[in-house]
Parts: sequence; C-alpha cells; structure tokens
Amino acid sequence: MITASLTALAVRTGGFVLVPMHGIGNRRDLPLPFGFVVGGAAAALVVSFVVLFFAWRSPRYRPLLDPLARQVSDVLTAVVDARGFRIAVRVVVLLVYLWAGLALFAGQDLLTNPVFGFVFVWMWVGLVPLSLLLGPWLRVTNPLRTLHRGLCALARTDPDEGLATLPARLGCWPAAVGIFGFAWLELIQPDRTTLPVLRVWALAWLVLLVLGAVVFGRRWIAAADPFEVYASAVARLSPWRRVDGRVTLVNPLAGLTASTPPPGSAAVVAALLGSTAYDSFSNTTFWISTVQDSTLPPELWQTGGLLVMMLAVGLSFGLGTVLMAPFTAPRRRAVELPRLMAPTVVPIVVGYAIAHYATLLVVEGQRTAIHWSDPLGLGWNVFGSARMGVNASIYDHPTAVAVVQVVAIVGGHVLGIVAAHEKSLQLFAPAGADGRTAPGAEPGLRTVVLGQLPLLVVMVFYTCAGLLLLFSP
Amino acid sequence: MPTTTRRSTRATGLAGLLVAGLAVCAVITGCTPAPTSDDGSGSASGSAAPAGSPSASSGSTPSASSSASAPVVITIKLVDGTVSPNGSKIDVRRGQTVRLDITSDHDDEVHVHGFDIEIPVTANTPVTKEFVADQPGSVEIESHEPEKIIAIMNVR
Ligand SMILES: [Cu+2]
Repeated sequence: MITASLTALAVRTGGFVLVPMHGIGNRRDLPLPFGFVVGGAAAALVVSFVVLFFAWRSPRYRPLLDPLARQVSDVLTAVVDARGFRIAVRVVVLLVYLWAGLALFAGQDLLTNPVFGFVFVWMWVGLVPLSLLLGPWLRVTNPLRTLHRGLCALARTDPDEGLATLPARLGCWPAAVGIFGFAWLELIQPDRTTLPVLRVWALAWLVLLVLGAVVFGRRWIAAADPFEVYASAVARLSPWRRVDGRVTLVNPLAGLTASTPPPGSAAVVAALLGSTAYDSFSNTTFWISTVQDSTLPPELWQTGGLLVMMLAVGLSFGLGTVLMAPFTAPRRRAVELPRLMAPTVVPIVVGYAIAHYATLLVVEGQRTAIHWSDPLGLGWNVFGSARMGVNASIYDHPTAVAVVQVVAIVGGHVLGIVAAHEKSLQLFAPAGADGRTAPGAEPGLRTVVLGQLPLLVVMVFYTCAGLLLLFSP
Repeated sequence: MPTTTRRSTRATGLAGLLVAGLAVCAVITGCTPAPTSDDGSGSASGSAAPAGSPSASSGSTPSASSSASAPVVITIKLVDGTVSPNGSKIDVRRGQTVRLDITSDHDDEVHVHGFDIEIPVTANTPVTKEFVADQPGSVEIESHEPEKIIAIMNVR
C-alpha cells in the first residue's frame, strides 16, 4: 500500500519529494461535512446533560488518588530517576535541538531546510502526542534547562538560585504571553518560513529564557517557556504522575483533577484554545474577504483577530468559572476559580489540537524527517531518510479524517466535562481532616446542577464552535 | 454497601450513555458522506455558486457544470490590487478538470497550492490554465502581487 502510493506520488511530482513553493502545509483538511458538525454537537450536548444530572454526586478521586485508581511502578521510578538515564535523554534532546540549530544558522534559506518543520510541526504539534504518552518529558529534557544547568555548572552556582525572586503571583502568565507570541509567529508573521525571520524569533526565545533563568533561577523556565508550559499542561492528561515521589500509572481524569495549577493557567489554556480557533476562523471566506477588502494592513486585522479569539475564550471561561464561587464550600474567592478549573479544559485543548493538526503532523512531520538527514542542503543522507518519499495517502481518506476530527473534539469535550464535574464536586464538598469528603457533606442536587451549569454551557459552546470552525464556511 | 452499588450502577449507566451518545454521533455522521458527495456530483454549480456569491458583484461567480467531464471554470480578475473571487470556497470533485480564466491589470503570478502550479500572468493579457484536480484536499489559489487568497478549492 505504502509503496504503491509513494510510487504514485513520485510519478505525479516527477521526483521523490513534493517540494512546497512556500509555507508549510500547502494542503489542508477538507471542511467537515455539515452532518458531522450537527451529529457531534448533538452528541456533546446529550452527554453533557447526562453527566450533569446522572453522574456521581460525591467526589470520586479524593483524596489525591484512590488506591484503586493507581498503579505504582518502582522499577520505572528507578529507571526514570537514574542519573545515567537523565543525562542520556537530556543529551539526546539537546543534540536534536543543536541539529535543528545547525540547519537554522548554517542551512540554506529554502523550504527543504528541516528547521521550519522542526519548529512548526515537530516542536509545536509533536509535543502534544509526546506529552500525552510520556507525561512531563519536556520538563526533564528541555534543552533550555540543560543549557542553563551547564552555565550554572561553569559558574559553580545553584540552578535554582537567581539574582532576584520571581513573584509567585506571576505563575505561568509569562508563558501565556509566550504562547501568544508563538501563535503570532505561526499564523501571522510575514515570511515566517524564511531563515532570517525564524533566526530572530529563535534567538529571542533562547536569550529571554536563558537570561531569565540566570536572573530568576530555573523556575523562570517553568513560568515562561511556551513549549514547556504547553507540554506540562497536556501532560496533566497523561496517565503518568508522581505520587509521593514514585512514578504511578493513574486514571488521567484523577490526575487532571488532582493538579494544583499555578496562577495564569487559565490564561494559558485560553491562549492555546484561542490560537487554534483563530487558525480555523482565519480560513473562512468571511474573514479572508474582510481582511483583503480592507485598506488596513492585514497584520493588524490578524493580530486583532487572534487577540479577540484568545480574549473570547479567556473571558467566557472566566465567567463560567467565577459563577461557581457561591456554591463552593469552604467558600473560595471568585478570582481563584478560573485557575482551579483550568486543567479541566486541557482535554478540549488536546481535542482541538488533534482535530486541527493531526494531518499536518502526519504529512509535514514525514517531510521534516526526510529533510532532517540533510540540514545544510549539501546532499547528505545522515539518517538514511533523505531519499524517502512523503506518504500523503491520508488525504485519500477524507471521511476517516473527518471521523477522527469529530471524535477528537467530542471526546475531548466529554473528558473535559467529566473532569469539570469531578473538580466542581471537590470544590462544592468540604474535605475532612483525612482529605476525604466529610461525612454528610455531599452537595445537594441544586448545588451540583446550578454550580456547574455556567461552565457546562461554556464548554458546549467551545465544542460547537470548534466543530463549526472545522466546517469552515 | 448500597451506596457503592448505586455508584457503580450509575457509573455503568454513564458509560453506557457515553457510548450511546457517541454511537448516535457515528450513525448521524456515518450517513452524511453520501448526501455530501451527491451534492458535489449532482449539482456542482449549485454548491459552487453560494461560495462564490460574496464576489458575485464583479461577475466572477465560479461556475461548475453538472456533467462529470465538464471542467469547473473559475474566472479570476486581478484589478487594482484586489482579487476576484475574494476567498470563495469552490467545490471540485476529484478527477474533475479545473479551468482558470485569468485577467489582470498588472504582471502577477497565480499559484495553485498543493498542486504546485504557478501561472505567470502578463498585464492585460488573458491567460487560461487547465489542470486535473487529481488529489483530494483543500488548497488555496492565490495571487503573489500582492499576496492574496483568490479562492479555496475543496477537492473531494
Ligand atoms: Cu503562492
């Protein structure tokens, strides 16, 4: 099968590799058939109200993790914590980034340079499946951390110590700004697939992050690196978690609701969801013709559109969660709730990401792997991939792709509302001294329904909007 | 004990409903590809016309014939830095011939993404380009001077 389609492709293009003339991903997914949109939305709506009215009424995943919901692995803990293992994975990831850096600074300014696919596809899209599968892998192997660690070793200082203290209130707000920055680069920056432009962004990222780590200690990287913060957010949905220092296999929903997110977490998920939504929205005829008819510079429209999308998600999520405050026991301040509920949107973020970028990851990910063998455009074939072809046959199965898209969005929605349900119950029902729900403290039906309704409506809105945007009118 | 049983019954019921919900979704969605493709073959002009209507004022509504062999004709006008059609979506069936009739008041280049076809355009000289849309997917047709999206072709 694969060989056949590869041959077809080679014949069609008169060569081994389809070389796009500009930009990454010259072909996009077909619009979602309208029936899929309606069906998906109906399913999301039905499931939401079933969960609201018929799901459990008392928190299930409290305290932190029920012994039933976890599986400790001491062998895995020993392996993952072994010094040799840590050094090995850090070196491997650092080498991968150095190889990309070689292509960025010494390669040719052509789309056959693998650095473009590395940044826009492998790094940004690829971190989603990797973090789902492996948990917080980027936190361990982040090349920025490795670099900073090296600098500290040279200077004989403690990587945790900086020159100044990072205010705790800042949380991961800098990363929310960083995600906006990356989205701007990915979707708006003119000539983003040229080396001079990408070099400026890459250097800015490197300097801001490493310099910040020198000033504030390596906490800065957890606060400001958009890649690490995105990866950590997705990792909350992975089945891996540390419980009392041991690597544990847990129910992802339990892990999601057990996390204590830092300030700014709501902004991070809003930025992620908003950027994906804008990517789809900017493909509608309405938006294209509006921007192209205007005398204002397109970048102004696009920046405005991206910001409006992120703000729309942030404000609606803020409203939906703040309205929960009166139902919480012990009573929480309204401003805390967006942060506390933020992890429950992660499944929706992941669903959006899969629905929008799965094809891109498959097709452009392959193309990047092919070019990876020849970073300088000198005809090298270091990894033996240079003469392979891109298998683009995924485009031959538009119905299968559409099914994956709907299942990803609706599935993300279902996980999201179930997680939100559990987290709400935890906030509505006071815990006793043992961390379990205090006897007789189960919230009443009125609290359960009214307390959750606003956020449920907001999540249904995200899901229907996501489906409609994929319909791409 | 009773609470545990009730809880597990509820959990089972919930799981069942989730599956049922997704099944409903699958059934509804599973039925739709047929009407959609009918739409493409039965009334291609009907489905292309609304997409082109935003720019219909300039008389460049893309039209497609209903016959399988007849090409989809897209009339492109590049005037005064504007493009027409202006970001319309155009439905094309896989294997159908697409004909671009291009006129421009300046030297330009029209680029069909995905198919990697680049058509040089000379000022005030109509140019026609035919190609077979032999691969499914959604691709942009754009001008390069200035860079604007003329149309988005949905080949299925
Ligand atoms: Cu082009």
